Amino acid sequence: MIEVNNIDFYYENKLVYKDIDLTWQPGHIAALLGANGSGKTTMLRLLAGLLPPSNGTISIAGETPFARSVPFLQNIFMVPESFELPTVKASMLVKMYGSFYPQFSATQFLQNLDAFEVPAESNLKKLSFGQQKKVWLSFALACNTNLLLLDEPTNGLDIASKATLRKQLSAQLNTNRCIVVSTHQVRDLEYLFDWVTIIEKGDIAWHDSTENLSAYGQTESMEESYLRILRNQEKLIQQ
Amino acid sequence: MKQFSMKRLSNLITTWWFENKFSFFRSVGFLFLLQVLVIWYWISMNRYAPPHVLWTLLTMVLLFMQGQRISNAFKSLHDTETGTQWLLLPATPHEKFISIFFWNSLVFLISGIFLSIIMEKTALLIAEQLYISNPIAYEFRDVGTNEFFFSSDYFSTDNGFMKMLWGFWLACQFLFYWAAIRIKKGSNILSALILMAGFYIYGFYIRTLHPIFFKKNTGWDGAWEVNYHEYIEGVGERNYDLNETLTSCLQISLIAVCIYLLYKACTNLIRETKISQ
Repeated sequence: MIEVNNIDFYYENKLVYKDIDLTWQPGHIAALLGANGSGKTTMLRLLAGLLPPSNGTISIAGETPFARSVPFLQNIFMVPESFELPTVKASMLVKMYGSFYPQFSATQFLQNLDAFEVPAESNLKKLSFGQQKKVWLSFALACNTNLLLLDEPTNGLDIASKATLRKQLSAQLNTNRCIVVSTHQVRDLEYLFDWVTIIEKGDIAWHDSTENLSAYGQTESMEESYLRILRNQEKLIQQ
Repeated sequence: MKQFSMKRLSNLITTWWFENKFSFFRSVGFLFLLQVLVIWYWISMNRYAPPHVLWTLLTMVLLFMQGQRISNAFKSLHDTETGTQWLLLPATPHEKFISIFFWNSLVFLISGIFLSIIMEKTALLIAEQLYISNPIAYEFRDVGTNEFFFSSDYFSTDNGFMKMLWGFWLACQFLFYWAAIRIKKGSNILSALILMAGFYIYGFYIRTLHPIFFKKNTGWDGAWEVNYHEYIEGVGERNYDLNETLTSCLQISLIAVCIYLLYKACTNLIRETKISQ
């Protein structure tokens, strides 16, 4: 479904990625991990079509993201780490944005809000950042787009809301849908991921299933496996 | 998939309204406040109020605010930090452009003009009542009522100049933004050139091809003075005296501000188009 072929990306003449190949299939929740500044958010922006690769191609269900055609945009939703919501009631988002997404379900949106315990009639500007994030995540899930990109979705969420997010994400995953999550808070969602991609120093350090990651790291903890991969990579560079 | 969809456009127009209604009302409210102050000033100054300066001030504020609105609207379209939602909203750049044009150019401008017409009528009514109560104390200059607003008078059949000017301003915005979407290479410079050429062509058009005839006299009398005389066939001559130094400066500044804002808005729109294509 998502094919990243030999892409390079430069940000202000500084190399971020060199010759990267990646493939993500539908029906998975994939983690995108890496150190600060490794280019996780950039990868999400490339996939969303907000940035063009310097070289190489990206194809999502046969579409080039950067062309930002209407059919492509109807099937993708990105929740950035920070965002601005309009001064309206949460329920108004249905009227404002819902009609742009053919598979949007207003009922699902209201159910998601209910699960996150956010009143549908609350004014978005008066909500805390965490509350706003819950509204936007509820909306994103209700759009039922085939590709959902989440950048640090658990930032600002309380413990109970993180549990709700896990529940909602696993419940609303289907065979046509791919969810890519960029995060530093691995523990918040680690049992949800079935695929892991680690970006390190402009290259892909890992791109395989969670199962294989556990086998490689000889531990159930994704965090420890991640650290082991980094250590091994460091050794390889030194050799 | 349709390149242009009325359904998507109406969705965008609705969305824009929900997102921006408060800032829209704030802008219109500011104009209203300014007009109240101008009327209060005009009434209190009686015959000594300089109508041209007031007219220019109001017009400048309206155009400046309008230009700023458009420029900011297009800026958010290409801003990957704050404009992500707009950028990823499933609609074409043309549809997004028209929805912005609809609100910021058409509706905002018309709201400003209607507001002025209402205020003009109110001012005339007050002036009339004051004159009836004391004809000697309140002898308002006729010129003040006719020229200090971009008012209903400018839309009457015997006043082609202002009608054409506002129509031209609106057409300019539409055409330049539309061109900005389509132009691919060297678009920033080209759009600025088109913009300048538009003003010159318009000047040529009103001077030579249209029955409205302009005579312009420019002279130095301690400051630059400009006089325009409009002659309409079958109606007669009407003067637009811009012979006050401050007014002349404001008029020139107004044109400069308009050009700058249009250029800025075009540039922002081009960035969005470049990303999308």
